Amino acid sequence: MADTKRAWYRLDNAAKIYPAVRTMKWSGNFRVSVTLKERVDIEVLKKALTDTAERLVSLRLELHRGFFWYYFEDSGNPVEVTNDVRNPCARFGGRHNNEKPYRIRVYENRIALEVFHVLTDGTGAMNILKSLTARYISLKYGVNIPATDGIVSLDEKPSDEEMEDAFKRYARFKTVKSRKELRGYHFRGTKLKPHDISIVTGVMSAERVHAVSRSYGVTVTEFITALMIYSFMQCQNESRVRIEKPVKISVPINLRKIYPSKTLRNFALYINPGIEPRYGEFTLSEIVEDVHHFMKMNNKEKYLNAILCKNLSDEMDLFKRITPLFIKNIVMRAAFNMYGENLVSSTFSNLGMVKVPAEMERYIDRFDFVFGRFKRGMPSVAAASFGDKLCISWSSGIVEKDVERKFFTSLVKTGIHVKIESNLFLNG
Amino acid sequence: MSYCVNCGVELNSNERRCPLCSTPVINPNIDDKKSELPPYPSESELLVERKIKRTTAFLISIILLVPMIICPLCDHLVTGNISWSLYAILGIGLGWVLIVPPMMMHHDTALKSAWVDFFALLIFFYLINKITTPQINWFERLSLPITCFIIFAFTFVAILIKYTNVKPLTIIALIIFLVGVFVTEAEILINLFIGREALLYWSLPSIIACTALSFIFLIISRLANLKAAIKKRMHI
Repeated sequence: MADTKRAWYRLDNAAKIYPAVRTMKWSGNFRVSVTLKERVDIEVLKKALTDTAERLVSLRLELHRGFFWYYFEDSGNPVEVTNDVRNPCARFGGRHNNEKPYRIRVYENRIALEVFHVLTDGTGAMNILKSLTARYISLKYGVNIPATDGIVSLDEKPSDEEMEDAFKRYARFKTVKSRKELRGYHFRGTKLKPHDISIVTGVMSAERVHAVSRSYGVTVTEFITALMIYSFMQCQNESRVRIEKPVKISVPINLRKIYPSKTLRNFALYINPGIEPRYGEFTLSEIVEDVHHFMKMNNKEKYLNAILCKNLSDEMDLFKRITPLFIKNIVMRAAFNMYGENLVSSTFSNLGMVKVPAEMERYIDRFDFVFGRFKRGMPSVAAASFGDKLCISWSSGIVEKDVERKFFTSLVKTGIHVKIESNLFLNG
Repeated sequence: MSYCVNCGVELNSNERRCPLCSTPVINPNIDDKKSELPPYPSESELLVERKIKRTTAFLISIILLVPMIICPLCDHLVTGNISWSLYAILGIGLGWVLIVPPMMMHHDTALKSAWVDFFALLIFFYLINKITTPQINWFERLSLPITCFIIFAFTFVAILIKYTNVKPLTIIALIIFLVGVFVTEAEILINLFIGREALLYWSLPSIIACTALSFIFLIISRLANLKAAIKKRMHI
């Protein structure tokens, strides 16, 4: 019999789509990882996880299926720590099993947190990972680490704000923004097997990338986004398609930077800068300029609030709320197929410079942020930097590496030294 | 420290090929035993196959089993023997073979299912022939050769698509030609079955049209200039 005394939580607005659109072979996942300077002690990590889970509700949650909506239930304990694998970010859960929406994986010096997007977004996951790592370092090396830079204090009680659906708190509902957009170009190629994923990570100097971005007068996110658009545009040109489609990149905007929320759940929205290749061939400088102006115009509280209200209005409609979950799932799947990955060529999420307390810094080598495979297998990019190391990871479900190659060789051409790591194991 | 000569990026010392362009990495100074740890372990996680397909197949089987039991019972109660219910049983059995085995297959589903369906259809036709008109052997003279032609033609095209790099237009040409041959074969068999001579009447225009059309597709697929010219004039 189900334990009715366990605390339960509604899914946040952004999370609701993920359990509905997952398939037998795919779910929307990503992972953040920290590489320490010494080999990870698994026993200490297990203890650190238990301690952190006592404080962080997110680490104890299980996803359950209700009659109208999915919901989280506090299971009281965290997951088991497991060994890392060559093909991370595998599908989460079944329709009926109550699997936890995250995994902790260990490989040599690396602790990885794999997350089903239903639980949290990149920033939330990074804060959870930083809190776990801080506890691990304090247990392993006896260092007292202050609860700053997103690390939660294990001595404090969890605040309601950590588990709030911040979308609802900040929506004004004065206007809503339509989702209508043209379909974007999709790079096509030989599909990998459903359980497999190709990850190519470029490690480079964060300072050097900053300098190159500054030379264009834009931020690192804008520069990388423009470079991605440039790479996809070249691929589309080479593929000689009859009708060229817009090349657009979906860029998540961390709303915590706009609204003062401390939520550890999803709190990001997407804007889609891009180019229309039918207008002519764009140079990199032109794309950088376009992306810069697009981001400046759309990354504003008023515009984002209108998008946020559109998303929330769908959820809050009484008719939709009283529709049984299995019907909602069909509708949400159809909506995802129309508006989800269809509209854009790829996604780029930049966690930016990951900051940790000075006491932790000397134990950490780098942070990585990697997307799981997208439903259509299209290449996507996630980036995080720590110290002078910027790690840009391409995840893809396609064998051919044309876009990745164009992207990284373009970086090399701008004078940035790039070291490539991958999970591909091409021998012989 | 190794670099890809093609991409200009630095590679992990354990890489034997560039992950971006697959160019082999040849660095005589790198000692295999001292190379860096690979960034990921070699073990893969396999997708946990959900049992839902098996459960659905089981449910469908149960649902189909109910009329298979009820029909002969009703038939026996009303008529005192088994007559019309045999058709129902055979039809449901054929339906089961067409639906359930493809759900349990993992690879080459189309080809495997086609062959399973082929044998099921042959058994179905054979039994219907034996039950309804045992004095007229239409199974051997009509059903068997026509069904065999379809399955062999399907297998041939499927193998060509899967294992060769034949151009799509050539495949289309082949399919059109096979349709023409099928129509011709069907007419000859029907004529022989009804006691006429093996001459072509209504299938003649079909085989001529199909052969001509397949030749046109074949020529277009071979001549790049013609293909480009057609594309230019016919573009939408």
